[in-house]
Amino acid sequence: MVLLAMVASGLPGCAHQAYKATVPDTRLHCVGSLPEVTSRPLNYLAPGEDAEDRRLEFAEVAACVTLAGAALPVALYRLDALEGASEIDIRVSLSEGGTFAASAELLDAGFQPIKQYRFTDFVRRTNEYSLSVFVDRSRPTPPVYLLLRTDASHVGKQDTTITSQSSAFITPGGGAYRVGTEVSRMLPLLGAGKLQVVAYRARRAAFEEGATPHE
Amino acid sequence: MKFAAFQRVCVGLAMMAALTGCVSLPPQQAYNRDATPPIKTIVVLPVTPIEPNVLMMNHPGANFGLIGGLVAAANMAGKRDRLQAACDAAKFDPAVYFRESLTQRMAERGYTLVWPGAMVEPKGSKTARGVFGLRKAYTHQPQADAQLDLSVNFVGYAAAGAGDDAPYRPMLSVAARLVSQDGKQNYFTDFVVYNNVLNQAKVITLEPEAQRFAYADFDALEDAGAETVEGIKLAIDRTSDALVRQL
Repeated sequence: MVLLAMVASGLPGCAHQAYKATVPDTRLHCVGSLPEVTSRPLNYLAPGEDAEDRRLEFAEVAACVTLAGAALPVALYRLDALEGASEIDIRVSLSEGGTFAASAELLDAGFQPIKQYRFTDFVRRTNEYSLSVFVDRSRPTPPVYLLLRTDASHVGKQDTTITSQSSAFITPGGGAYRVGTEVSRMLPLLGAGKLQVVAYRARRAAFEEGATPHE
Repeated sequence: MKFAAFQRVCVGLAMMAALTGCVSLPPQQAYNRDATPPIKTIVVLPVTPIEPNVLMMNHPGANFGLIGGLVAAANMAGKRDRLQAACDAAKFDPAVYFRESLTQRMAERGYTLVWPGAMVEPKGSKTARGVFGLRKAYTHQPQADAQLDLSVNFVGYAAAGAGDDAPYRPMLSVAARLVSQDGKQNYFTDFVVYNNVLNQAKVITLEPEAQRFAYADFDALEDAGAETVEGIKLAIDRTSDALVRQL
């Protein structure tokens, strides 16, 4: 018997196969307009706080609002805690249990859109999608809110990833024998999934290690 | 010759370490158009040599210690030479194709790229670069509004393993940085990988075609002839698209 145990896997996220995105409940407590939605403050990371700590289900931050006759889950963030030029880093997790097809809008004090970002504006990065939104609160009419909601044009689509998986087998002599295979995964795009929204003071990144773009 | 082969093995190992995430990426910087002076012309800095390469993760030889590792490296070097021969036969130079692909797409975005007379730095250049091939420092470039530092860290074909369930597919890994004219401001830094077979974290990832340009083994890849070059061209075009979209 040469192969005794599989001890390693190189496929990110394979420990989360049981995950299922929580779908926001839009059946109850739907308000009739954006000003009625309870907003949450978007703050910079506190010292020692890890950006990953802010990763949560869209359903946990979503409120229901009826817009154009349709009940929609939205997450509304207030930007008044941000000072000057800031970068808002929005990330959604890629998962077989559901990937949030997000869209983002910057709104003014009257809840009118200043800038809109569709899901296609997000950038795919290995096991997540990311979007950098820059705001400058020192400008005369700065954005006041960030609104996140589902990009309905992508819900129901699939995202396919082709990655590699490495497996190591322990041999009788105590050594390890590694083999690699290709793994293809289908990741459904939903109106639900894991989300992370973090604000940083905007600053130029250093050219090499020794400094980080966000402090 | 032996030293050259050893040097290639060392370079290959360093590249593997970088691509597999054993080394941290340099700080990434998203492009903030509103906070950047208007840019129309961009001078592209000379790049390191761009040569077709072949990579197999989990090469069976690597399971047998140093000797096995050297056998694996020699095997990869042989395949690399065969891919290079296929590119030569098709009169395909990935550096030239990348230049044309990126120039066209940047022009569509409103940027004029100014390439140096000698696009590729001579081997043995003393330019100080980080592990991902980007420069550690920049000089003033008065002939353009900004300067673009590119490093093609891998171009060619890669497989996840040696079995039939791990086909060779085109792979491209590019680091890019847009720097101010005076060489002091980092406007943009990011990394694009087409076919992220190494599962490198944080990089912009582009998925390969599921059906096209997938070869069960290297013989099948070689038998495909000029089609293999088309696979690399697609990887370059999609990577150029992804880079331009960030700007």
